[in-house]
Amino acid sequence: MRGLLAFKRFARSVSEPSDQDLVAGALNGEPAAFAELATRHRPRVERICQRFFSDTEQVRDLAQETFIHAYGGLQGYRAEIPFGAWLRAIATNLCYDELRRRRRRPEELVADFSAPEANWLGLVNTATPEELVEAAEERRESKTLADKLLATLKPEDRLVLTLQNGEEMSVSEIAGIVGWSEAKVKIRAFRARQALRRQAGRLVRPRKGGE
Amino acid sequence: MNCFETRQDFVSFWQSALDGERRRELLAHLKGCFKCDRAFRAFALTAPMLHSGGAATAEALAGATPHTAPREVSDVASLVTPQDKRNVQDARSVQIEMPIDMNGVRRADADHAAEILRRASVYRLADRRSSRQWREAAAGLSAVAAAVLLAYFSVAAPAQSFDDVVSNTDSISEPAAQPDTDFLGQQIPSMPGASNDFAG
Repeated sequence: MRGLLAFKRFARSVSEPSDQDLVAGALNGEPAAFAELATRHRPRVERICQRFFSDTEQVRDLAQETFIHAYGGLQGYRAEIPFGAWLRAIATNLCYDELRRRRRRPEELVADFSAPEANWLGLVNTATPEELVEAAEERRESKTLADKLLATLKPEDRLVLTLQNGEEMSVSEIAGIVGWSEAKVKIRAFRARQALRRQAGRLVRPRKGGE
Repeated sequence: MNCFETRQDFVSFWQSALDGERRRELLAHLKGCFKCDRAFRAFALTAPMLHSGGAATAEALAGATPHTAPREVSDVASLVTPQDKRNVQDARSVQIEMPIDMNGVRRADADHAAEILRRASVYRLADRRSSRQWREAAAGLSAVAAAVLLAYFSVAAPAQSFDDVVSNTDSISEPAAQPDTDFLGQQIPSMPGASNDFAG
């Protein structure tokens, strides 16, 4: 099965046009070329947006906005940059804009949870680490609760933390995307981690016999 | 395994990417170390947003949607060819400044792009965008209608129509006391103390 998939992928890579060909096609006014680009990069773009927002509709909105902006700015695309990386920069900036538009959740409201979220919190405090990993994948509230915690951060802090942890970007990559100095990125990341640790620490009960 | 090493492995453990031996060591450490156990639980609160979907790059490259991708990270990772990995590395090594003017997308381009995405069934958002516009327009119209109705009902309606007045003889009666106004309709101020002149 795996071999068949690998073969299919190989066959596809031989027969399919590259991103650069598709960009050239889209610039020549071929809608199909841009549609193919969007189909190809959609999972990746959506994944980036998922790192910032737990709401599925919002993720789709932002992903579509990314492609719309990409289409509008296609003339300025330079072929030496991988198209996927270019899209990622657009998606990141759109998500950052959206974070700034949203009102930051006050820290004192961090204990304001729905019933499923409270259940998940109970599980976090009682289940074994293995159970937690499994349960987190199945429970949507694990994401919404994480989103609430992250929403207490400043947009810049959240951006840095998300890119560094979720997208595994280096400090220089983040600095390049958002246009900050590397020192600023490092400071933001440090502060964000501290704030998040403080917030999350308030919700985790010390184990019996512990500190 | 010490505390530092344990905490370094939280992400890999969360993404089920730790090998058997290392995983066992981590679990044993968590069992015995209260501080690390608590740190892991705090980590688990934000990990679903920050660290889930570690295989998403492989997922995207493999052309699978997030819903159909296998859950095992190792399975997905095995589908990625060395060329894919090189592409990802290339993508990461590029320094990208703000690629486009985020406010500079022309309306026509945006509509065209949305139409392409809709036709390709990539997103149905184009429909949503237009339906949202319709909803906004409908909301605007209903607000205007409500304002007109409010204005209409707030103006005092005449008690009788002209025909009623003509046909109703009772209406030709003593005129009501006219307010003290001059020929321009302006109020004539009453004389102070006038009513008292004849008093007593």
